[in-house]
Amino acid sequence: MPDVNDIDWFGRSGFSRYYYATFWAIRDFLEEIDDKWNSPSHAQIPDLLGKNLLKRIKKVLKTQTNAKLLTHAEAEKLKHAAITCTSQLAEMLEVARSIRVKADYFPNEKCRRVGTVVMLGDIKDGVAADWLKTANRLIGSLRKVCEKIGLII
Amino acid sequence: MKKLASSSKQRQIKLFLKKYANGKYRAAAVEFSPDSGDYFVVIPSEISITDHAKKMLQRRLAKALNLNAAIVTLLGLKSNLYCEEIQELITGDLDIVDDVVVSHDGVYVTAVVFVNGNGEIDSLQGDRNLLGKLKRYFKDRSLVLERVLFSELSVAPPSDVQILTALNKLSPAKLDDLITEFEAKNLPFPSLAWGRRRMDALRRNGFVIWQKSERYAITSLGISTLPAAKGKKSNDVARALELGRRRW
Repeated sequence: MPDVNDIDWFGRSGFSRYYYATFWAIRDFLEEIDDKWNSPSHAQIPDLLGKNLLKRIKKVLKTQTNAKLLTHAEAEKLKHAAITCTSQLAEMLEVARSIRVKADYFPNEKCRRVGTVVMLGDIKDGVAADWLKTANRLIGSLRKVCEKIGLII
Repeated sequence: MKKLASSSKQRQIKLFLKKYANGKYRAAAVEFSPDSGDYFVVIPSEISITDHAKKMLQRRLAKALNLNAAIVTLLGLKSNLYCEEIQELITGDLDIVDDVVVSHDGVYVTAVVFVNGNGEIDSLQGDRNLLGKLKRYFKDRSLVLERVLFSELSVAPPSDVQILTALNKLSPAKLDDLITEFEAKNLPFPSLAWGRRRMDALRRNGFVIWQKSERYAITSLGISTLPAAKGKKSNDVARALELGRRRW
C-alpha cells in the first residue's frame, strides 16, 4: 500500500508527464506549419495557436476567397473550425501548464488520493490522461483545415 | 434497425470495391432495395466493365460478404454539362455534394449524387422538393428522370488548393499523375470525370493552363494563391525535390 508521500511523488510526476506529452504533440504540429515554430517556450504556445496560427489561416482564407478559389461560405466554415480548435487547444494547454507548474515547482501543493482517483489541485488524473487524446483530436481537425488551404503540404 | 444493418452492409461493399481490382470500381454507388432486400452496385458508364467482369465481381462479393448484389451499369453517355448544372442546382449554398454522375439513353436518366456526409444523404433522400427540381430540370430537356441514387464518399476529395499545390510540385502533369499523387496521400478523386471538371474550372479561372500533350501547368495566378511557407516545407522546396527526383 503506497503511503501519502509515494502518492504525492509519483502523482505529481504523472501530471507533469501528461502535460509534456500534450506539449510535444502540439509543438510537432506547429513545426509542421512553420520551421521557426520548432522551439517555442511553454508560455508561448497558446499565443502561437490563438494569434499567429489563426492570423495566418485567416490571411490565406482571405487570399483564396478573393481569388474565388473558395466560396465565402466555405471560407467561413474553415475559419470557424480553426477558431474553435485553436481556442480549445490553447485553453486546455493553459490549464495543463498551470498544473504542470504546480507539480514541478510547488511541493506544498500535494497530490492526494480521493477514492480511486489521484488529484492535484482540482484536476483528476483521468482528466489529465485525456489531455493528449483531446489534443490529438483537435490537432487532427486543425490539420485538415491547414491541408485544405495548403498550409500543410 | 433494418436500415442500420443495410447501411453497414453498404459500407462493407464500398470498402470491398475500394480494394477490388485496384479500386477500378470504387466510384460505383451502392444502393439497397428494401422491397427485394437486394443490393445494387451501380457502375458509372465511364468505367468499362465486361459481362465476365460483372459475374466475377458478383461472385467475389457473394463469397467475401455473403450477400447477393446485382451489378448495374449506367447506360448512355454521361454529360459533363448536366453534371455541373445539377451539382449547382442541388448544392446551392450548401457544401455537401462532391460529384454528380448522370447517364441517359436518350430518354431515361439515372443520376448518382455523391454526398460528403452520411447524415446529408438522409436529408437529401427525403427532400421531395429536390426530386421535383431534378424532374423539372430533365423534363425541360425532354428527358425522364428514372432514378436518383445518393452515395457517400468515404473520404472527402482534395480541395482546389490541394490540387494546385500538387500541380505546383508536379507541373506539367497529366490528370493521371495528379490522381496517383493524391491516392498516395489517401485522398482519392471521386471519378476521372470529377477530376476533369475540377481542372476545367481551374483553367477557366486562370489558375492552370492546358498544354498540348494533355498536361496541365500552374499559372502565376495559381501560384500566388498558395500560402508562402518558408524553409524546408515550402512549395518551392517540394518542387525542387520533385525536379531532382525526375532527373536522377
